[in-house]
Amino acid sequence: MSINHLLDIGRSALQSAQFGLDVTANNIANVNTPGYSRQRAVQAARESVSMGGNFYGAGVSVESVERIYDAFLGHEVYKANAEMMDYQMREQTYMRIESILYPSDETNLGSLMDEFFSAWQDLANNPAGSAERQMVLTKAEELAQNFRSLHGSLEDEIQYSNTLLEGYADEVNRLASEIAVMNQEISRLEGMGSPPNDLLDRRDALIEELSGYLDPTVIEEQGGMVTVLVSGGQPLVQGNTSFTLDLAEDPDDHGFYRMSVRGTDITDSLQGGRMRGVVETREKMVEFQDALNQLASELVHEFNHLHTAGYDLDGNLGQEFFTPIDPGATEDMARQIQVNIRDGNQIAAAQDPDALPGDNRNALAIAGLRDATVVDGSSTTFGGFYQSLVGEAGAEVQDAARKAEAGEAVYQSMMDYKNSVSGVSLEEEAIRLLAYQHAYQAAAKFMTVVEDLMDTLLAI
Amino acid sequence: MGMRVSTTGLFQSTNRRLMNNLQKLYDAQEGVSSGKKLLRPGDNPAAFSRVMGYKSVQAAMEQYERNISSSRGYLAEAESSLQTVSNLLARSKELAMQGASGGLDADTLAGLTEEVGGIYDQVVSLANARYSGGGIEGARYLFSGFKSDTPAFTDAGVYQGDDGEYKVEVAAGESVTVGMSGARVFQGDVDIFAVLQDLEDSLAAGDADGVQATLDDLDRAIGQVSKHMAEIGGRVNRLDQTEARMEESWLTLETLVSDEEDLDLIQAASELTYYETVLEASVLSTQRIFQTLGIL
Repeated sequence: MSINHLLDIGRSALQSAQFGLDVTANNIANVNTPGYSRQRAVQAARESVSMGGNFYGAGVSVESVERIYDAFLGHEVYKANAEMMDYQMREQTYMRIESILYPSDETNLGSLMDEFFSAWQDLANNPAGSAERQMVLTKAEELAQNFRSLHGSLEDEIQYSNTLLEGYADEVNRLASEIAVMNQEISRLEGMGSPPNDLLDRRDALIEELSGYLDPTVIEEQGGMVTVLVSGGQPLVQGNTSFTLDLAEDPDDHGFYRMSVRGTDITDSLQGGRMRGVVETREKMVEFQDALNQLASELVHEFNHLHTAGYDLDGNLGQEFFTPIDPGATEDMARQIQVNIRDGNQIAAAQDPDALPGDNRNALAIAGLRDATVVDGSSTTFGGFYQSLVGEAGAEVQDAARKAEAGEAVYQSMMDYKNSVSGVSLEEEAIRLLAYQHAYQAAAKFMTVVEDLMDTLLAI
Repeated sequence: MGMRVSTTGLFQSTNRRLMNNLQKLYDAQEGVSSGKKLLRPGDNPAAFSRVMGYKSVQAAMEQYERNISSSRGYLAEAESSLQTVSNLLARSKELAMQGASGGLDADTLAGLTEEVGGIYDQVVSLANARYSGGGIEGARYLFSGFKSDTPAFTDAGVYQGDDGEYKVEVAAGESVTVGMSGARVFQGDVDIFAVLQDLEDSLAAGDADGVQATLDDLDRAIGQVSKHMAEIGGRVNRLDQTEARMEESWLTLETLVSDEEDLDLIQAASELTYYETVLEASVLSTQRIFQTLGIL
């Protein structure tokens, strides 16, 4: 045994304590870094030296820096995040739809229809009155205007879904290519000793971000790389290659974007993420718009039917009350609805051209449409149809809100588990700090002893 | 052993709990300040649809109320016209009885004739009364049927209207006839104008028997007017009943709306206090935890 051997042991002790302090310091420094997994210096006793039949310890070495992480929890976090983002997206969208369809107690399509019918009642009370006639036209104009603006607002929302998907696809493509770059870096560095822990954390953070948009499944590969599959099997990232998420307008479905990766359409197989939220809500918005068109179309039909059977103040047969639209184009009725009658005297309040101006029978018949179950295959009234439309929007909000809340709870508890495993604890680090500090001090003390020994030796 | 507590996790979860409590406090506050538990369809879609239905029925009731009040206006005008007509006919009968007793001098006869002539003019003018429809312009003739812009009778007592009688809706699907055709009221069983004309002519001619002959007709005329006044009374009654029934339904609807929509304020206020306390406690305990954990 030589003095040098002692120096060597002392050096390894100093070094490993310093290394431990290093790792501890890094943990403390990153206590608030999102996605950071705590690290541990893994120490091991060096292989002992055999001399004269005895084994002598050779000091300590730092084997690796370990990243404390549970891959299973990572996957659960992605899944929960995808679910949560999907329903949060739906909740936000449906809340906008809800406030489009029912902006306030005072102004909504239902109350405007009520006012319109009331104007016909007032006209029936005084069929010759020009003020009453004017009021019918004003209320009709307000109602038509409201139909058009509702249709327009829904149309904006429907169009906005494509804008959203464009932005999301850009994000997905950026994330996929960054994950591929990370894969490459990680596999290059893994061959050189300790795994590149910070890169692993960063890659996990990228995948979690990706799970906000769609539904990644992660498969660990050799050499530290991961394969990222989306929509149950379509590879988005494979090794150091990423594939593009492509968007293509579907002319048969309102020009909505369909999504594909490497030519495989994944639109209908998406399992989560904001993109799925968009795909689900846009179809629903079209249904709401269709319902609105149906309501407008049946309103126009019923009013024109009765109005053209009556007589106006000049004894002429009533014209179409709302501008007639050729039967081929009825699907857009809420957008196109216009009041055809321009002059109050043209309102056909009478049933008999020889009983003017006091005949109010046609006005009464038209006012009676308020309570007539003539809408939706004679199953409901105009007001009832609108009420169930609003109720449906409310139900979608409620459903999405509940699921978003449940998704968030799952996500949070997964994050709690993940933090429990990977999160830095300052208390823990404080204790380690003490431990390494003491180890360092003791090693330094040992070195001074060795120095004394050497001085003694040299003085001989 | 429980879950390992990390600083990151502790910070995130306490933060989240604080935010949750803050959200609950905010919701409770929103409820108390609006007084409502049903603000948006999504709060309770089924209840919201019901409330919309109730409110729509109430909107219709407001209209029915207007219809009723406009009908009352018409009927009041008609009743007051007929009341005056009835008084005038009673006066005519007095005059006729005087004329029928015979032996009157020429001056007296001339005076009676003139008064009956005046009554005739007044009745024509009452039969041509107009109704201004609750302040809305477009005054119409009460007794012209649907031809409401044409005076009901000419000076000669010829009816120019038709037999249309307008109706109004006073409840969902329930109509009441309001209009009264002049033909029915003034020339139904008895032609009031012809009777008065006969009386005037007989008085002018000093024909006591002729005058005597009009007395029966005058009685029947008075009866005819009373019958129509009773009809008006019946209609007003029906309007009153409908209105009373509607007021009851209105109150029921108000209760229904309030049950669905309004917050139990006492409960809401105590909830608000509760969440305030909870939030305060969680802020305090959070501060404590982070103070205690001051090793580093």
